[in-house]
Amino acid sequence: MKPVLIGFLCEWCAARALENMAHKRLKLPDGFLPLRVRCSGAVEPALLTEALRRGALGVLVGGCPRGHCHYREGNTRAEIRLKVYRKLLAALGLSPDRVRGVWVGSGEGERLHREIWQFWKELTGEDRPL
Amino acid sequence: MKIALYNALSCGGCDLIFFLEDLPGSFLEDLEIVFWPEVCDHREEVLRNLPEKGLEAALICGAIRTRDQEKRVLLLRNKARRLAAVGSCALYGGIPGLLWEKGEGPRPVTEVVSCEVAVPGCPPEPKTLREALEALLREEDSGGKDRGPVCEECPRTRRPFRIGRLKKWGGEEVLSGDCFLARGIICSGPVTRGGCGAVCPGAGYPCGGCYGPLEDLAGERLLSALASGVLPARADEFLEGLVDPVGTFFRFFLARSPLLRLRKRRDEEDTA
Repeated sequence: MKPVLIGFLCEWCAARALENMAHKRLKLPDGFLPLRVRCSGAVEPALLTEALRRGALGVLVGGCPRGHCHYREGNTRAEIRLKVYRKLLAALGLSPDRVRGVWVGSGEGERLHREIWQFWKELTGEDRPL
Repeated sequence: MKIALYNALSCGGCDLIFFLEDLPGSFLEDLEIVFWPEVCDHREEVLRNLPEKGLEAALICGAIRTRDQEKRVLLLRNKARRLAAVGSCALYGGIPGLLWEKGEGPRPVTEVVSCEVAVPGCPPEPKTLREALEALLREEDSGGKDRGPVCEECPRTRRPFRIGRLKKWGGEEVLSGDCFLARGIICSGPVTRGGCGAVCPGAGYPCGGCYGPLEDLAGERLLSALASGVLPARADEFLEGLVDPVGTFFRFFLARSPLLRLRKRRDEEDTA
């Protein structure tokens, strides 16, 4: 099966950062599937499990930078949830690094690009398979 | 009416309620227990000598850990016309299912054979057992799927809340009569199927989730419900207080979690 990295990107910042990246003609990994969501706070942990269950190697949740959530505290809640979910994964003997949060502003296309490639390399790389 | 009772991997608490509670009169009339290892016959020949579907019903408690238990359950499926899975272990893996946290654990009976009647609970409330047995006699399938969450039946006072530090059970929080979650004590009520009458919260103990998940991925949903209520400034405190995430979110249904299959798949790939 081809490796897949799912990205839940919030429409206010992370998805715009992706568009910003597209303007710069930066190339993304083939297996990266971005999904636009209303807010990173809308990504519930059941979705993360579902994505992993269906074969995603990793899940990336992209939201607005800290303190800049369009809905005041959606990204904060997403971050806490991710922390707890990662603790759960670790307790079950799974690698917590398969689920990750990235907090980028709409103009930070290059940073998002860097983060995605870094995550992708860690997921598929020879030396650090998660 | 010929029936059989079998107990695989469980504590035996589900067997006890058969003695203690007033079962439906029509069920007890003309009842012949052919096979019940704890009480009467434990020889497998008794079952094997029966004709196919020779038993009216079989009641199975406990989860399946060994090859032997699996064989017995398959035999019972073959010999019994109707099968009832009794207790959380048989339905969701229950407490023994927590063995999965650190390795191989038992499977619920429902994953090995199909069951017509589900009797949830750890142990099931007498009322639930009675209703299920009546359904068994009426030839209906019963799973209690029409119920809402435990919170709907809970007598404690609900109010909006944010969570700071998690608290251990006990003291003033219990006596207050407020929702446990609002008081910082973890309670599985919101993600657990009702039907028990919320006896535990009513008696002052938070729900553990023994009546089974209301929806799939109930553990993740409880995690979401709790983590979303955490005060951002106290997130680290909350994380520190959450000593046993698996036992907290998946106490009775870890054996059914897709995350386990994920780990199993990885382990298989590692060995391959």
